Amino acid sequence: MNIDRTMNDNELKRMEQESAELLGLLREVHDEDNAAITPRQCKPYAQKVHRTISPYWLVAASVLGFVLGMAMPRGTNEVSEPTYTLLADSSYTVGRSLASGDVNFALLVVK
Amino acid sequence: MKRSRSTMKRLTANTLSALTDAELMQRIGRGEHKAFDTLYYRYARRLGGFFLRMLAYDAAKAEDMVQELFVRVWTHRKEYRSTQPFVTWIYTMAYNLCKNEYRHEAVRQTYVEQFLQREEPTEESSEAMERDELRQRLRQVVQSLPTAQRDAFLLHYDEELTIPEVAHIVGCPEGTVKSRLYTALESVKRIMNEYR
Repeated sequence: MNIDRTMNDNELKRMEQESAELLGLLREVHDEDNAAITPRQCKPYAQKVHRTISPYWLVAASVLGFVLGMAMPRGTNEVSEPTYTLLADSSYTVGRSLASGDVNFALLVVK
Repeated sequence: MKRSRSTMKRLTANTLSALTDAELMQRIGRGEHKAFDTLYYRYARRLGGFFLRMLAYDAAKAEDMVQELFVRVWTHRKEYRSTQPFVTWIYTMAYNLCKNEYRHEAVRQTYVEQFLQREEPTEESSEAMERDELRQRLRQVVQSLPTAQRDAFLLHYDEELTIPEVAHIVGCPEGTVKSRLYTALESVKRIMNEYR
């Protein structure tokens, strides 16, 4: 049978009326199937942003980190000669002042 | 008076829910994520059910397809024209996804055979069981229809799309769609009557 023949509207309508019960059952199936679906979250735009960021920003951040790292002064545990001298002198002066009573600590505290 | 953030959020969600599909698509075209979320939750369940029936009740595949479809909606958001009904536009994409899945008829046959072999355990009263069996039988009968007939049948009777819309989606004349619907309905009715 050629199923692609041109169909008269009335023929289809008649068939649908005759199959009303069947179409009712089909609706039940439809509702039952759809109720079983639990939509997951869908964030395609988030995926897209993630894809856009990763390659360029990763390279830029690495370059920036390297440049800043190179520009920073190197840290050390050793105390340089001038710093050592300054510290020693200051300690000596404070010690002398305390011993001779030049500094009135009571006054300092009040102030 | 300042409105709290949650009130504002609720107001935005209500405003978006009231918009038509075409209006939401306009906003999505401008990159509004919230409009996309609204559209997604409006259609995800319905299209999930459609994929479920089109892919012989492979639930995992149907869920993946919904995700895939909405990723496409987002990617092609600027291509949507408001002159075209949104339902036709999204169902055309959904239908094409299914067609890609069924590029080889053998793949479809495998899906259908797996579904037909599946037996659902039931622990209900005899009447409810009978109704369940009937529904399951109807699923099987629809799945075993020839592809072209089944597609037209599902789009028209399940998805409630009009005949011109179905004709646009499957890409054939309206007369052909009517013939397919008639033949499909006739076959389903005959087989179901035999079963009873």
